[in-house]
Amino acid sequence: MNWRYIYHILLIFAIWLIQIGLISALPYPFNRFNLALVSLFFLLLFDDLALVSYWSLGLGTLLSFTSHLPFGILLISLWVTVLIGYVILYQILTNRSMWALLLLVLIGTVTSELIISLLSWTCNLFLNQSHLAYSGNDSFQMLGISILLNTIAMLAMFSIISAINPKLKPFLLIKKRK
Amino acid sequence: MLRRKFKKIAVSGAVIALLIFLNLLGWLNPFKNGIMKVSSPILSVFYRTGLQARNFYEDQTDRRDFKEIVKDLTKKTEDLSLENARLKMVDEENKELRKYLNFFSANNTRYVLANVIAGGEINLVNQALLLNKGSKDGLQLGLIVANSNGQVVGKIVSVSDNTSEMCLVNQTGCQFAAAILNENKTIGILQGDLGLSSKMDFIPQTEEIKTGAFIVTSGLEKNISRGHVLGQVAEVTKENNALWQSAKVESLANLHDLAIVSVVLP
Repeated sequence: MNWRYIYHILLIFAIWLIQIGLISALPYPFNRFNLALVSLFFLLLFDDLALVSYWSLGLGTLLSFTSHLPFGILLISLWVTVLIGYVILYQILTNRSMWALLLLVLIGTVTSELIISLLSWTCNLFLNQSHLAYSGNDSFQMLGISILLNTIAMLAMFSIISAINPKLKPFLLIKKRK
Repeated sequence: MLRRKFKKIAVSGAVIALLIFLNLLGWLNPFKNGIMKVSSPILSVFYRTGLQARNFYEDQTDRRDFKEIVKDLTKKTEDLSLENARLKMVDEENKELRKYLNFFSANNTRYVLANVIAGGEINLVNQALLLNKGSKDGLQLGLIVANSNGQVVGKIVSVSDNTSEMCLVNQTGCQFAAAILNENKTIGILQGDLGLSSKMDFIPQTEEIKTGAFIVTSGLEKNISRGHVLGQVAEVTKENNALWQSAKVESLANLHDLAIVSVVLP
């Protein structure tokens, strides 16, 4: 078995454990931090869509196991958000500046919450079960806090890693891969 | 390259659809249970850590809130203390005024209430108190000044339009025509003695004076009626070969904390 797969699976498990066990127990507003989403966006910087989409599958599945929402909502939300994030990062934004990251996290967080709300509402409509109604980010304030925390975390991670790894130094134009 | 990417995306989309389908069939439950069983101890540790962080945060928040509350309450306490002090002063003043009112109403005496606004010097030995009422309020030279119980505390020694000065009954030069409340109602001159007590001189040797006898105004002085209490005999000095005897008189009033006084009008 390739050790690389085990390494990724363990990382996905660690992020899931931290998100479900640690962050959910933190006081408001820190429990609004979405580590899964920030990790996926961070991975997007390495331009490996396949890897990121597999990560979103793994994380989404694990998060769906422990969510009160119908199975698949978080999974689909993460997966679609990652795809949108990829398009934004590599087709619209032309650099990897802090501002680009900020915009990416902002759009990503809003997209993710929007998809979750939409799917929850749809499930509620068809299954006619009011307890399925998604009640997480039911206000703009909570959404704003999520965006803020995710952005801060993303910028912190980017700053730390870019200080260590020259691969993540901001540059203006992305080299086309041959 | 692009096709390969789309293929991978399509594969992951298909996997999602498959997972949802398998979950609907309930085939994912063993997998889910296994994961939850394995991860439960670690989740529990993480959750406890999160709770500890939450408790710490809430403690800090509470402490910050309490600090704000303590600050607020301290400010309120200070304000209330000031208010309380002010009210106590007003209360004392009120009681004092009521005493004046009761005493002078009962005796049908005309009087003018005055506030002591400063202490002024008459000469090196004696001090005067400055009152906030003057000739415009009907005050004249020589009028007696009394406290809330009607005990004489001094005499007006100087008058201007809006203020006046009074000497205290125990100060040298502050003199009163006095009478001792004994059998013969002996009369004499009461004058202050270096700010310590008063002294009544020129009492004939034949008069019998007892310690504790009351001294009042005799009414022989202009503008001062009879019967205002000046003090009490504390000691009698009588020498066999002398023509007169004298008595040391202690004022019944507290002369040190006069704030409001009444000037008895003729």
